[in-house]
Amino acid sequence: MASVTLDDVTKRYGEVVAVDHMSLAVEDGELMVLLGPSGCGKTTALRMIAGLEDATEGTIRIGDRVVNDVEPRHRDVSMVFQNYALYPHLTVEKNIASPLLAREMHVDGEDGAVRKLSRTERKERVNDVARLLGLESLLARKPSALSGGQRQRVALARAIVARPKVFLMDEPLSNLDAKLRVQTRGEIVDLHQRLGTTIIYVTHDQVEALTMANRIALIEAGRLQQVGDPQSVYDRPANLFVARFLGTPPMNTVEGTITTTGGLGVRIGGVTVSLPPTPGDSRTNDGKTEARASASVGRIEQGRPVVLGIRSEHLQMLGGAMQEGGSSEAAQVASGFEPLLTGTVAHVEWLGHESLVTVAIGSGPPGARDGGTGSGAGSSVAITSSMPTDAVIGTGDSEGGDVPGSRTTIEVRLGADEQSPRAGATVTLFADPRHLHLFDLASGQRLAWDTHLQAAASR
Amino acid sequence: MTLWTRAPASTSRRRRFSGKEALIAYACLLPSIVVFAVFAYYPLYALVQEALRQSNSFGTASRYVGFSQFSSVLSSGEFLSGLAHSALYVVFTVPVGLVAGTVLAVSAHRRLRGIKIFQTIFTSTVATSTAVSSVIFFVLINPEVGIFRTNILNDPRWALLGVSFSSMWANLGLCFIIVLAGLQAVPDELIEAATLDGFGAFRRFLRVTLPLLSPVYLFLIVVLSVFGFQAYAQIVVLTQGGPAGATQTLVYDIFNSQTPNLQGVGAVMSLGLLVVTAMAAAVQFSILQRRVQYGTR
Repeated sequence: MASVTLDDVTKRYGEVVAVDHMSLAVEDGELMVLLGPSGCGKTTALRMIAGLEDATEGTIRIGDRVVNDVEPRHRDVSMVFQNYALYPHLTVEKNIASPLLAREMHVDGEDGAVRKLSRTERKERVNDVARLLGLESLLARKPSALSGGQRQRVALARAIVARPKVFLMDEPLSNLDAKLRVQTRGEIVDLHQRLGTTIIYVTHDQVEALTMANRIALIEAGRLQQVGDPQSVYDRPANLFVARFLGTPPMNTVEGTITTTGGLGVRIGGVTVSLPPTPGDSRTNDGKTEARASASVGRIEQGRPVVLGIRSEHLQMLGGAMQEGGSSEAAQVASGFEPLLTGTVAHVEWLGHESLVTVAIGSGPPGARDGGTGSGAGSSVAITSSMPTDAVIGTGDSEGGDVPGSRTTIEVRLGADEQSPRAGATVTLFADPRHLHLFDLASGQRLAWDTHLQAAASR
Repeated sequence: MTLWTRAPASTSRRRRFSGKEALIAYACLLPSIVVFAVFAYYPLYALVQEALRQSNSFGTASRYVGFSQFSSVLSSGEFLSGLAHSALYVVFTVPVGLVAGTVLAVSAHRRLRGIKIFQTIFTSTVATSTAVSSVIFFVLINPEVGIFRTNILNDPRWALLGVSFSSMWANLGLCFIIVLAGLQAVPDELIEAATLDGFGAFRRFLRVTLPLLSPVYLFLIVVLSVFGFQAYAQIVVLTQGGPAGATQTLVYDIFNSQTPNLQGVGAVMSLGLLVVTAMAAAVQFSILQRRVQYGTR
């Protein structure tokens, strides 16, 4: 077992920069997921750790050893390939035994020098690993006689058998069907807990990343965007890329400008969303990225273009009827929070365990619009705050989102037991201000508004 | 990567066709059946007919002698020595073709600048007819004016080997192309997997690349054997069967018996060659197919 450290590593192919000054420390025994869209450089990073690619610049360490010039076979790593890369002409048993045939290794109960294993020792190890992964009955088969899931397990077995210091996995589940993927996901996590070996796992699937990782490293365009445990990167995205990449559907983002008149707020179209001081940003998160983000951000001041973000599940919705009967104050009482935005239900997608309601955001302030129009008798659905409404603000067209009447849409998620509003109904959206995220429009970096609040308000 | 694809097991259970479907199927097959009938099956039939007849010494008439001619011709010294020469020719040319094709292909299978030029050079003999390449070879090794001056073609002990050199050289382009195509079909990640397993370049080649090239080698062995058994133009250009009959292969003998009085003899030898070639191919298939790795996934 060993840590893996990338220190300012860059990989260029001619003019193309695949990995751009990446520094990442993977701790010993950690399951680190490299997450990003295809072509972001995550696989290149993995291949540089494996030694299949040379780093153009920077230092790669496995444990304390600099491995830039070490051949792959002497790095003591194993890799699981996306296409499994099983030898088609060899049986499962010989596939698994392959690293044992090639490498010298430490032997249980023996101190000191590494050596090649004897035939019986190899057989024992292969049988142990086969038992661990439920492959005993398949040892005599050729890979062509295996299902996708079985091939996947053989590939895992081949990686495990040599007991390397680090496992590298390159989208190992992407060729499996959805059901098998979920199952294998669990198996890899179990395996990690049992073996305790460092795993670096590349995927473009954010669900895999969130469910499996000890920590996630988000990568875009060859640059590391944020590193942190799943909850901290989900709850406190360091920038817009991370905010939009994680979560299904992605975080809703709406463009606006900072206003400091009457307390800190964001003006979106004709509406001002106030940003009350919150303890939010003082919660634990990855200090390093947060510091970096704040450093490049500068001051929050009047007129600064920003992006307001909020996740679907943090939104609550109140239907038009209630608003008609009472006022936004009534709604506020019901939800416990100040109204955020008003909009019209564009359409509703029923998914069984939940519904996704797409709300087109209007320009008027909450309550100012004629709540009655467009909401027919049956559409006056009272969605009260007592219901655990999972609301989604869809990203929609966030470009030009601050123009009144533009088609910014927000998705709101409702639980299965909640009644969905009809299309055309006017609804008001609420959210706990602690769940509002603020990003700089120009740089995309997270803005921590509470720390700037005093400065902004005192002027 | 396959040069032939073995039918998947599931299709071996035949589906019954309706009358109309069968009719359409046969209609589609008709053109190729006609071509084969005219250019292959009828000549074969005519050849058998001829093999059963013996001409008089002027070639003006022939009579039916049945299979007696087979036993006399096939046991004759001429046939047997021709067969031996042909077999030797195959034994010389096939392994060299495989090895040389592999060496060239492996060295050209790199992502190097300008490698295309070498690939083109290696491939050039494919576009050259046997007669032309034989003439070039003849000049190359000419004892007086050649670049590699040697008397090999005039020495009965070495002449056959000498002629086979020209075949080896002429086959080089084909072997190179086929092996290179095979190499390029070996998935990169298999080589990378072997790299990470810990095998060095040479063992990667032995453990992964070579087994995956086996269909390519089967193809080359069969094709080169057939080429070897049928070698003719080289011999005509280089030695005309000499010196002292040392390069009289079966095909050369067959050609020499295309005189009116020997037609029946030539026909029998042709059939003999056909059977020998077919048997060789069949044996190669049956032995090698069990060891060949088709396709991968």
